[in-house]
Amino acid sequence: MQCKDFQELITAEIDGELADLAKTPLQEHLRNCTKCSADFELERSTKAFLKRHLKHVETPPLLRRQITADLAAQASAWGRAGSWLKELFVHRSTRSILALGSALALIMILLMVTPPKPRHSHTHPDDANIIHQTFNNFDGVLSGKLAPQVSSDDPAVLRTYFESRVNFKVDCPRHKHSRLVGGICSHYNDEPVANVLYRNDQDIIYLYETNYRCVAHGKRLNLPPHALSQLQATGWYFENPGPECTLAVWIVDSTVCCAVADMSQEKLLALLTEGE
Amino acid sequence: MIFPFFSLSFQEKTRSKHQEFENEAVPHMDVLYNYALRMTANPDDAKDLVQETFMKAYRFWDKYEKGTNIRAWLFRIMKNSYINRYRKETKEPETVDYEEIQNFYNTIRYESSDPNDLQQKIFGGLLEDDVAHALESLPEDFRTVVILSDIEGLTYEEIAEFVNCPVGTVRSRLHRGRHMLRTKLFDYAKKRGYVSHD
Repeated sequence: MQCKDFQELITAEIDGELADLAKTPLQEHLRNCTKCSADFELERSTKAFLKRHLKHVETPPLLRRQITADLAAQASAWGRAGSWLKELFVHRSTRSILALGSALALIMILLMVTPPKPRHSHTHPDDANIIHQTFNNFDGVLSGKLAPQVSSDDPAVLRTYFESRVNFKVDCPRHKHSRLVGGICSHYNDEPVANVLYRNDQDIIYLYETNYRCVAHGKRLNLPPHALSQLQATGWYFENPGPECTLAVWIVDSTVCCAVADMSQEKLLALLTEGE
Repeated sequence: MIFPFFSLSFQEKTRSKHQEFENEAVPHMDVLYNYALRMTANPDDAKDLVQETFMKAYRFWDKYEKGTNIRAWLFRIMKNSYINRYRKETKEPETVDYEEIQNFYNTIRYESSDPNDLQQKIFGGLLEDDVAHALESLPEDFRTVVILSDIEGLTYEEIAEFVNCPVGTVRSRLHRGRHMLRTKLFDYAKKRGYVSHD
């Protein structure tokens, strides 16, 4: 074996990760090779130096308290009474329970009605980046803070509502496997935004729509450069912030749409591109 | 009669989920904070990253397989957030010329072969800031393993799980990472005049 073969064995030995089998050959070599034994000492002292100067610190108490408080808020978010979202998911099951009538059937349905997924938090900075806004609004929808002003599964009703409020065409077509729930108009930096909601089974798909030219211009609303360039080049931009969570951005005429849902990219894409 | 059952059992579920999360995930906050701090070299960014990580972890708690390595799972979420936040904001991808680094290391090695020199004379005068900056200058892959091994004390196996690579790669990156760091430290020491020119 040559010196270069011992290099990584030195690293392993320093970290106490060297296999017993290799210990003797290494000791042997270090005894006879001044270069390698100098290397050993150099690396060992580098590690010791690092350990001494960049110590493990404790989480700042303020941060720890903040996180604990945020988690507690998350836990209680769903328990909030009168959440329109709760009614959206519970209402249907009430009807099916009444329709059946027998006590046994009632129990079975109770067991089968799975509560909607735990509430989520997409904390992002509150800025003109429409991707951040999309995530924040999605969070608002799931926590019940952002509720539709008009509830309808008819795209025409929604478009009429938006017509007088926004300066772009709102994209809210019918899809095969997801149903339109409703929408509400909001503003950021005086720019009108359409918030549209679809539902697929237990999942909510939230859409943030606004004037594309405004976003491309980048002053009152914007997209990060890498997202904008990919959007312009391919017509789509995606982000996957976590397992089973997807953000999709696309353009329809002069409207830019951002959709978020807690599902895989394949599933979201399928639901959004399915016609009636 | 129906609603109270529904809401009660769900409230219980939520409470136990919260308890579970507190018992299993929250204890790893310190390690996560340290990693975030060393990767971003900025306490505010580290704070944001840790907060985001815990919120996401709580959201996706039902996706975590009970009994598997919780720390690796948390780290993966943090790494994901880190990549989304920081890598995407840079204009050019990180290009690392490994050849160049290797050559540089070889020259330095022969310049200071006395290990005692290293500690006292040459590096003794460096400030913690210098050391932190030297670490920050390492390419991400090398920085990660050095942080997790030398500051946080994780085993090769644990690091391999977090980084999602073989143990051999961890060892190799550690070896080169430490050498790169030494090169940087030597550089700083030279700039500050701690290295004699004879």
